Amino acid sequence: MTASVRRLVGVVLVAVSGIVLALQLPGTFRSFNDEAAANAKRAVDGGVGLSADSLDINNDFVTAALQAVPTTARYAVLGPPTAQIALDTYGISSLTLLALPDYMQTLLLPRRQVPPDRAGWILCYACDTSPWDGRTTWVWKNDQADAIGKVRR
Amino acid sequence: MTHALLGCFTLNLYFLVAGLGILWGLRGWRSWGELIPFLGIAYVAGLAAVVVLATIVLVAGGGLSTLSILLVSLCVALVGVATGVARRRPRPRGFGMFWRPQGIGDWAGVMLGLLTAALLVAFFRVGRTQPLFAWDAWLFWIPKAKAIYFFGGLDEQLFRSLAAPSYPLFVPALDAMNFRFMGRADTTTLNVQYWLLFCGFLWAAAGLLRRLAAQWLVWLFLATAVVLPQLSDRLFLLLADWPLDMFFALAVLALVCWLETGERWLLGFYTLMVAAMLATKREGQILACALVIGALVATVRRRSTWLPIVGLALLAVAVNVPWRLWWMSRGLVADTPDGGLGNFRSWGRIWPGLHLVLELLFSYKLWLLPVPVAIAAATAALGRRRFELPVLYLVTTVLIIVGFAWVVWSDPRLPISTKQSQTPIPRAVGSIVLMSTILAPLLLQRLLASTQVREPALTSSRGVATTWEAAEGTR
Repeated sequence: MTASVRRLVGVVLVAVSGIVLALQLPGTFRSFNDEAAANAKRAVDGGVGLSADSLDINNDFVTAALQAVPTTARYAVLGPPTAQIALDTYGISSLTLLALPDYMQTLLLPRRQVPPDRAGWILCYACDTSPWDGRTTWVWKNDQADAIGKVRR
Repeated sequence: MTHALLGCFTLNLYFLVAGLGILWGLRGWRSWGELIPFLGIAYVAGLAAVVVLATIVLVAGGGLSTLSILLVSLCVALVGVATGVARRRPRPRGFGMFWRPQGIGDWAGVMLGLLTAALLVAFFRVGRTQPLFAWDAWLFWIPKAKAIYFFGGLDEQLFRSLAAPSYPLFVPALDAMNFRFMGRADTTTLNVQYWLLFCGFLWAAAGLLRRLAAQWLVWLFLATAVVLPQLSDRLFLLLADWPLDMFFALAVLALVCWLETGERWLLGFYTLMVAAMLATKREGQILACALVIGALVATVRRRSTWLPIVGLALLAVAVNVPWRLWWMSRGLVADTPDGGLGNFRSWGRIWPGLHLVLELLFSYKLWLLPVPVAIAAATAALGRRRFELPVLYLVTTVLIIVGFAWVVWSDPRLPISTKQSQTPIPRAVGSIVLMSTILAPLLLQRLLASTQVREPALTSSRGVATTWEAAEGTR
């Protein structure tokens, strides 16, 4: 390849790169502005709503857990008895069930997530509350079988 | 300005101060004006050094309190200053001569630089309010950071219960340091840290490239880096991918610049970047191997360079050994496919794996065109007498592609899918894209013309090159 051909290749590549940048600019500025505006709306609750929505977790449940469970508490997350019941009765997907404990752990730190028998608090996400009713004070409930309670020792 | 935002900026000021110490020790500067283009290098070097040391503090059982972060930053700065004193670096005097645009090319560079700044301002507004929602971020990166912040160090009980327990600590440590300075675990404001790192990356790249490529060419591609669709989609996900890609791209650039100019201080920066890569993500091991082998192949006619290339990479590996010992001694799950070298017998996955990597790498929708442009420029530049840069770029790129294909091939649990949520490859190929984006100006400069070197280097080991062709003559 001669020097002039190489230079021609260089000019073409620079031109292509310049055109791509020019074409991309308006859309990039527009998308930055749109995203910033959308984020500002979602940021009202510290973004908790959006992150919970991305996993289809009930926003109210998450917010209530953050407010009710003390920062030094140990808690357990309980889900529906089976994935089938979760889907058929409550419309909760398997992805939501899979993500729920880990997501709540991240959100609720420094509160420690522990097995139910060691928990001082129960976060019930459409779970069967009957084994806990006698020894738990439910501080928050909704009509979708979600509940948050303090276990009496 | 909120308290959290102020805390984030304060921490980054610490990084800059630490980095200025490093830069003075490595290179020095004669005037404050001369320092300005190198501020990005100082900042990224300071951040890398302080956070890598912070990971060692954590492994040693320490915590990341405000005092310990301050002490680590000060130690880094003081070691740099002491090195500078020992090496008799000149004391900076006055503002000195600063770069002034000369000709239409330089003015075009200024305009493209201003455009880049405008894009970054608009991008800041996105990050300032972006909530946490990426799967891996809430699954293990952020919980690790929160655990370090809330529990004062590595909490073995929690780490054991998390996914990817043996993944490197750089990002959790950096996040935890931010939480400490913010006064709370504010994952929304944490995005500003990654925005600052990206700004530092661009400034560092500009500082390294400025004497080797025309300004308009440099800023054409740095502006392109900001408009890469996957950058805006991913930088604020609080994952480790983009930090890894930035450290890798700067490691490549520092090594290339050293091969071009012979300025030994660049090797210090190269070492820091490789150490940060290895401390950031397990893919850093593939990238570091590919870079070292690529550099060895490229310099096959100049074997005197092999010792620093390999030796300093091994030094960077050494600073990451403590973390490996920590998780291995506790029997945590290994950070390689299947906990070993993967399943090599999955022959049927070799071609689909390679195809997947190539498909994702060359997707215009994801990455625009920097990779095809850099590959075309490198291929065209191969015919020239000085072939080190294009060979290094091409060999490194091919090896990374093979490395990522191996990840897909050897781990049958990974679906052969372009879906972002199912495989790490769409994120991983960002390393090649970012390397291509910041090497493209050098590769294209080769094709277009030689360029003037504006300022003499302070610590060149082989005298000062005045042009690329003159530099060629010194070899």
